[in-house]
Amino acid sequence: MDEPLREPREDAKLKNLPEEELLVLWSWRHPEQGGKKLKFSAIQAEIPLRYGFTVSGSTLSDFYAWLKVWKRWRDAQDFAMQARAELAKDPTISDAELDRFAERVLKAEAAVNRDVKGYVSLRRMTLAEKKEARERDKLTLATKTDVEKGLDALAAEIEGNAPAMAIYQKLREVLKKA
Amino acid sequence: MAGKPTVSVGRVRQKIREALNIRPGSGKTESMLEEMVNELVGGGVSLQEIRDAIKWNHDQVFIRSEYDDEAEVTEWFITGLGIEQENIK
Repeated sequence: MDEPLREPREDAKLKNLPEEELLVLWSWRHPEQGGKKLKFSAIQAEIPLRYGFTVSGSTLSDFYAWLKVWKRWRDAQDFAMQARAELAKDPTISDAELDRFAERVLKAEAAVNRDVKGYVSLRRMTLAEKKEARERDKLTLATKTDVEKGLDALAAEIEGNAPAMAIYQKLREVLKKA
Repeated sequence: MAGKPTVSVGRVRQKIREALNIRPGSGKTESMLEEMVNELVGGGVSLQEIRDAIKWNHDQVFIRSEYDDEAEVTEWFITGLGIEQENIK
């Protein structure tokens, strides 16, 4: 049997408005300096004229509580994107790393109490990356040491062979630059 | 005897989805949800009520979890079904 048609929730109509409109609704309660803050009753009267649907007073009050949280996350997102753009100036950082970094900044910034957790998480991420880089360096060093040992053995082997020694010297130069 | 919750169980469950539907691509931890839900309802919701509401929404497949290895926390996300539930009466 078909389920009865379910209607969109009143608050969902407001929340699903385009971002520009949500910012307009925000500005009605949080005007720029010198602007006039609208009362809920005035906004309730304005909504049908602007959007073609009505909302109850309690829905509007709930909506503005939601809008405050939404705005904070939006601002945090902007901040995270700016931080990402700044970090992206370093060409050695990959897009995936930048995305992870931006996500951490977003969460740290979006917290009401901006407690340390978000930033601890950011720091942990940096430390994990440093540890990874150190491990990589260790591995490179170990590999180089093995190659050095091999070259020493080779030098002993080709001692007295001038053409082979010339190639050997070139090989050492290349290795130094690596 | 435990006091009566100031916010109804149904309302807390709905606010969990509402909070997760804000920037739905970003997972939220239990403590973030506690903070957000309390802001949405004007306070009065305990961590236990938040946990119960998370569990209920999870059981209904309105939300899902992912473990973030780096931050060592479980994060919650709203599902497609949860978004649908959030938009209709």
